[in-house]
Amino acid sequence: MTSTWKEKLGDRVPPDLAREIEIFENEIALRKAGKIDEKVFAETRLRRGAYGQRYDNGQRSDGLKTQTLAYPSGELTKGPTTMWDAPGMQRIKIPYGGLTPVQLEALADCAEEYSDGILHVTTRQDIQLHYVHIEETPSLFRRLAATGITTREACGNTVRNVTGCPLAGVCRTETFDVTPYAKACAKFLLGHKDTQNFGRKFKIAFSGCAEQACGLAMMHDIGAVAKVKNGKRGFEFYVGGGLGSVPNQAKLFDEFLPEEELLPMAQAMSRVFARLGEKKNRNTARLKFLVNKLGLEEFRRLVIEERKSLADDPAWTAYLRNLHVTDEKALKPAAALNGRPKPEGFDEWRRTNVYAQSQAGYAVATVTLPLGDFTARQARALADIARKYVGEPMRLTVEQNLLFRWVSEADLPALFGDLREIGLGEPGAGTIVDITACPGTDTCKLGISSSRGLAGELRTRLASRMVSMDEAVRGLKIKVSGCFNSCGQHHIADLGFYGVSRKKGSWTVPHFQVLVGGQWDHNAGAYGLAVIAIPSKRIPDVVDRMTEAFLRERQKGENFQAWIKRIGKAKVRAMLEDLAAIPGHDENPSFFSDWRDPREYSTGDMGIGECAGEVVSPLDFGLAAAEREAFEAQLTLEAGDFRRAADQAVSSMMTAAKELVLSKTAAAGGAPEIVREFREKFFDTKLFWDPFAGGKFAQYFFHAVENPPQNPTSDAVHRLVEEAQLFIEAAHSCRLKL
Amino acid sequence: MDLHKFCVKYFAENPSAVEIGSFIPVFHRWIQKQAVEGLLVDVADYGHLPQSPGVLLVSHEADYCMDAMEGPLGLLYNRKTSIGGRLSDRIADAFRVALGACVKLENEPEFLGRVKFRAGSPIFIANDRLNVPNTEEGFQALRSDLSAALAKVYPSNFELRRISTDPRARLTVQVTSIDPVRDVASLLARLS
Repeated sequence: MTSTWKEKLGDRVPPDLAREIEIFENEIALRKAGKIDEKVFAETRLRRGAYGQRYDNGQRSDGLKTQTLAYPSGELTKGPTTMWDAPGMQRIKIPYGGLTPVQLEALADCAEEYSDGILHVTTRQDIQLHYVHIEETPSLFRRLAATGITTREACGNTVRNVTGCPLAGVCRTETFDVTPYAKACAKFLLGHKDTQNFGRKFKIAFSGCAEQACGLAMMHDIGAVAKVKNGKRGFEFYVGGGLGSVPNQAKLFDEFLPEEELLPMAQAMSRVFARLGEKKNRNTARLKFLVNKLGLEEFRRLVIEERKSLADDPAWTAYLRNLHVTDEKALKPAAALNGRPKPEGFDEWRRTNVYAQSQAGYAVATVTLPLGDFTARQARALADIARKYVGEPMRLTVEQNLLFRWVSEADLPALFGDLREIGLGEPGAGTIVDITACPGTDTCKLGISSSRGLAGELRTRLASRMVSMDEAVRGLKIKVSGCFNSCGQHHIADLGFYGVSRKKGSWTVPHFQVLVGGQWDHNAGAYGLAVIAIPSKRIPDVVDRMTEAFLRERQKGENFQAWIKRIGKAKVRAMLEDLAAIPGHDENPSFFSDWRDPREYSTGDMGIGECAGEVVSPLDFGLAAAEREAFEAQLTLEAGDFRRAADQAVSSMMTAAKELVLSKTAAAGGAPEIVREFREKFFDTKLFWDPFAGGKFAQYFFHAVENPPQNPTSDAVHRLVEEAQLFIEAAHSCRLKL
Repeated sequence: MDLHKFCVKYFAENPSAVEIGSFIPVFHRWIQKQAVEGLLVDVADYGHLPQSPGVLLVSHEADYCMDAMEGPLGLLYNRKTSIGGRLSDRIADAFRVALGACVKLENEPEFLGRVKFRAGSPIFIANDRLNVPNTEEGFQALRSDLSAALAKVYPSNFELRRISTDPRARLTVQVTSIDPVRDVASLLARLS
C-alpha cells in the first residue's frame, strides 16, 4: 500500500523538482538533528516559499497578558526566534498568474489537508496558504509539482514570482501578448546560477502597454513594457523600481530592448546586482539602492559591459521560435449575448466584472475574491466552471481576483449564475469595494494594524451603498497595508492606508496613515504620500469624508488624483484633522482594539496608570511637532520648492531625535550634539531599532544629516520626505519602549 | 489504517441565530482562559466569505472552526497532528473534544439559548486523500474503526452514509443516530 506522496506520485513530479524537494526534505531532517545552522535553514526554507508567521517566536499577547506557546518540539527552531512547530505561511509562485483547473484542484487539496481550507491571492499573483507545518511542506510541494507548480524561490533573496498583465493576449490596448516572454523569463531565471547570490529579493513584471496599470512595471526591479519598433518586437525596459517602505519609481534603462536581448540583459543585470548590490545591510540591498548609488548611467554602462562578456546561451532565444506556446484556444465558438435571458443582478455584475476581449464575441469575466480569499471548495468549483466554459485559461490578478478568459459572450449569464451559486457572483471588480489588503496583523509578523479587518469593514459598508454611488466614487481604488512595507500597495491607490500606532496615556491605539496622490494607471505612475495618522476605527469616516468632499468640490472631468492636486494636501489634512483625536478609554474603549480583533491593542503586560487616557507627555507633543514639520515638507515639495522641502524633512527628523534625546537628558544642545546623543543613547543601544528593519530608520536620519542633498530633485525629496515620516514613525514605536 | 488527520462536525440547529463574527471574541476568550484542549495559537477570521471555515480557533493539534464550508454552520473540529493509539480511540477522542467545544459554546453567556447543536447527525471527514481516498473501498476500509468509535457515542445504533462520490472531495461520512438523542451534553457524558 502507498504510504507517502513521494511513492504515489512517482515520476509525475518532474525530475528537477523532485530532486529539489528531496534536498529540502533532507535539510529538514538535518535541521531536526541539529546539523544545519538555524540561519542557513531559514534562508533554505524561504527559498522554497516557506515563510514564518505571526507569533512564531512562541509569544502571543492574548489581550490580558503575553502567553508562551510551548510547542512540543521545545527549543528547536526553523530560523532565529522562529519555533519549529509554529504554523507558517506557504507562498506558491504562479508565474504571470496563469493557472489551469488541475493546478487549482491541487491547490485546493493542499489547502484542505495542510492549511485551513483557504487560498489567498497575493498582490503579486501568488497563492498563499497559512498555518502550514514545516514538516508537511515536502508532500505539499510534491503534490503541486505534479501539476507543474513550484514554490522554489517564492521568498528569500531570489527572483520572485514574475508577474504579468492578466489580460495579456486578449487585451484591447496591448502592443503584443507578453505571456510567452514572462513565462520564458520565469523559467530561465529560476535556479539560474547568476541569481543565487543576491543581497535581497528581485522582482520582475511584464506589461502589454504603458497607459493601463497592467503589470505595474514602474514599481519593479525590472519592468518590461511591450513595444514595437520598425516592425520588430521588444520592450521599454525599466529598472530600479519598488514600493517597500520608501518607494522608488523605476527609471528607463532602454527605450527599446529587442526581444532577443530580454533574457541576456536580465542575466547581465542579475550578475551586476549580485556582484555590486549591498549584502550586509538588507535595508539598502534592493536594486533601487544600487541604481541610485551608482547613478543610472554608470549602472547601465556596467550592465552593458557585463552583457558583452556573457557566453552565448541557446536558452536566450530558443523560446522565440515558438511564441505561440502560450496561446489559448477558446472552448466555445464566439457568440453574442443578444436576447438571452439574464438572471437578476447580471447587468450590474457585467458592468463591473466583464471586459470585452480584443477577439470579437469573447469576454474576460472577473471573479471578485473578497480580500483575495476563496475556499478549497470554491477552488474546485471554479475549476469545474473553467472546464465548462473556457477549457483551461485562468489568471490571478494583482488586485487579488481571478479571471476567466475566452468566455463566449452568450455564456456570460450562465457563468454568472454558476458563480453566484458558489458565493462568488459579487459585482464591483476594480471598484471602490474591491479593496486590496495584505495579511497584516492576521498572520504577518510585521503587521502593525489590521489591514484585512479594516478592508473587510470598508468593503461591507461601501457595498451596501454601491448601487446609489456616484460613478466617480465607484471607480476609486482603496489599498491597505498593515505596516509601512507596502505589500498592500498603498502607495498606488487613490486612498491608501498603512498601519501605525499611537500612544494615548499608557494605552496604545491602532492607527492608519492616510495616503493620497497615488496613481494606479500608467503602470503605477505616481506614489502617494501620507498626510495624517487617524485611529483605525475612524478610517471609514475618512473614506466617507474624502469621497463626499470629492463629489462636492470636483470640477468637470476632474478625477480624484487631479482634485487632490488642485486642493493641496494641506486642505486634505485640515479636512481630516479632527478625526485624529483619540477619545478616552472609558469614553470609547473600541478605539483601543483593532477591527475584528477584540483584544486590547497593547503590548500585553503594559500597566494602566491612574490618569490613563489623559496624560500627554512632552515627548508626545514633540513627536507631533516633528510630524507637522514632515507634513510641511510635503506641502513645500508639492509647491515645487525642493531645496526648502529637503531642509524641512531633515529638520523634522532632527526634531523627533531631539525629543527622544530630551527624554533621556536634561538638555539636547545643537544639531551635532543631538545626533551624537541620539546615536549613543538610541542607536548604539538598539533602543531605536525596529525588530525587523533593525537600524534602518535611524540610518535615514544619519544619512540625511551627514549628506544633505546638494541639488535636490523632486524624486530625491520625495524619498527624503518618505524617510522622514518613517523615522518619525520609528520614534513613535521607540516611545512605546521608554 | 494510518489516519491521523480528520474532522468531526456538529451542525447548529439554527445557523442564522447568531452572526459569525460573534464567535471571534468567544474564541479569544477561550485562549485567555485556556478553556479547551490543545496549544491554542490564534483566531482566524474568514467571516467575509459566506461558505467558508468561518471563524477558527487555531491550535497546534487541531482547529476549532465555526464552519460553513462543509455544509451549514456548525462546530468543526479538525485534527491535524499525529497521536498514538488505535484509530478508533483517536476518532472517539476527537468526538469527545468536539462535543466538549459544542457544550461550551452552548453555555457561553452571549449564546445561551441561541446556539444549539444537532446531536444526532454529525459528519466525519477523513482529511487525508493519500490514506483514505473518497472511494467505496476507502469508505469500507474506514468503516470498522469509525463504527467502533461511534459505538461509544451512539451505543444504541447509528447509520453511516458516504456523502459525495466526487473522487476529488475528501471522504465524508454522514452519521445518523437511529434513536433520538437529547443533546450534545448527554453525548459528552458518555465519553467522559
